[in-house]
Amino acid sequence: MAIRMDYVARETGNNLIRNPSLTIATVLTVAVSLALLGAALVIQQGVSGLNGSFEDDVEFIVWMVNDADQEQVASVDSALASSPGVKDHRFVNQAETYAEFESFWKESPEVLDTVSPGDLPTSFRVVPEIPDLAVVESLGAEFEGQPGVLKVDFAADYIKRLNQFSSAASLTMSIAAFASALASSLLMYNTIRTALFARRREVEVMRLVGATNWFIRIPFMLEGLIQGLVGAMFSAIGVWALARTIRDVIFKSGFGLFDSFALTNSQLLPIAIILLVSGAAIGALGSGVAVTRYLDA
Amino acid sequence: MIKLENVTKEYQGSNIALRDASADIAKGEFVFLVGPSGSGKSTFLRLLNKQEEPDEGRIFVAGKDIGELSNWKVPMLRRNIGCVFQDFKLLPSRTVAENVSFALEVIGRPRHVIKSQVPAICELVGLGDKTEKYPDQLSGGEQQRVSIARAFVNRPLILLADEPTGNLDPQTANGIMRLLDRINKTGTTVVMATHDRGIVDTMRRRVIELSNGSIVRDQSRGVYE
Repeated sequence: MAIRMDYVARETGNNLIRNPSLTIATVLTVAVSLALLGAALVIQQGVSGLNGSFEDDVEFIVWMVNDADQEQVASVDSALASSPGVKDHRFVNQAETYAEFESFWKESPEVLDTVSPGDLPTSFRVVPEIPDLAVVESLGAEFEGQPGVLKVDFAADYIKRLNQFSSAASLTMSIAAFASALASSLLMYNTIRTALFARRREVEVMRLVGATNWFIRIPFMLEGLIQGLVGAMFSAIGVWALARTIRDVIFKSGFGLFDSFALTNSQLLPIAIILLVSGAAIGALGSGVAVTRYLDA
Repeated sequence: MIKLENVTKEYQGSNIALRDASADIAKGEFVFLVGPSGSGKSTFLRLLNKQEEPDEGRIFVAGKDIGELSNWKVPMLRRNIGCVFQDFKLLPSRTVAENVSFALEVIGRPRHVIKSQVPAICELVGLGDKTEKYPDQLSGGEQQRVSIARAFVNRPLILLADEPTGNLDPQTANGIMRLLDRINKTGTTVVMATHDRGIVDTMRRRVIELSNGSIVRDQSRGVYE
């Protein structure tokens, strides 16, 4: 038995426009809940991109201010060289920093266009003798106040802080996303029940003349699926806008701790796909359960 | 065609709807189910197309024990059983032709079949000139004809009618009975629940009388009594 496409398209369309306020409410709830999920994913992506700045044994980075003169750089360099706690250190000039930056952002020419080597700070990458957090921190602190030093970033501290931030933020976001995904599933369930109620005579006749359960179910599930997908589309647009805003803020305020939170469009694509799939799943599941309960009743 | 073996059906918290009922209805028979309201007539009909499940006993339709039918096969059973109701159950937003074609559409019949069957069946029930009317533009008798057309368009083996003349005046009811009689003459088994003494007495068909869920009389060429 073939299910006729024109029938399915007509019924689904009618359902969607029959109760516009409920359709809009459902779409918006899906959009909000998935936007939260998307934000949580953006944070996780940002954190996972972090570790790039700290290669090998580098335990802290001494960032110089942009306009540090030769003398200031030389004095920090010699201080590092003479410090007994420092095993090795390496100066990274603007050209090298730009090269790092370039490889980090290679998929986003739009980002690279806005930055020239002169905008980036130089730094010393320092490998200490004893990679113990307390020792490293007191060592790094010696350089904090030196003239020409912007700040000192500690690998352990940096990663610790970020992990704290990200786990707190993404836990909160995940809970909120889960709660609102549940809410949108329930709303979806209710929307479809309302649609079923509006069409209860039709459904009754369909059952009596021997329409299969799937035949009755499909237009309603498709309705939920479309609502879920449209909501997911809105949330994907929202997450993209959020990522754009974060990127702009980061670039305007100079570079630092949260650089890797500026996601490129290609990093956002998998997040968008996750959102669309989740939206479709919420829609199809909520409506599928609603219809099945109705049919078995 | 239809066989009930010691069928009992009890609704929760209420009386027994059907008590140890047995009956055997042959292909092509026309059977009246009579009895007061609440005597189990509707339950009898609802059991036949698996809208209800019996608590005890077995029901055979076309030789098959429908108690053993898996859920996904129930629609196939229902395609062989047309249903007509006192309240017609027409869809108000669809025309006569659309109401009839709906029944074919939802069981996946191809369009060319629908195109040829629907006008023919509308003609058969005497509504050939009203196919584009909506149910609220029709009289009660005409609406019941639409519902019969819908039930019969798929040429079912069995037609179940639950008080089909209950809302109609006697003259209109007679027209409906003539139509059901014609359908019966094509070989379709008709089982009709009714209180209408006049109809039962003029038709002189088999009568199964129910009282408090029990079959108290099964008489061929019977009267209402």
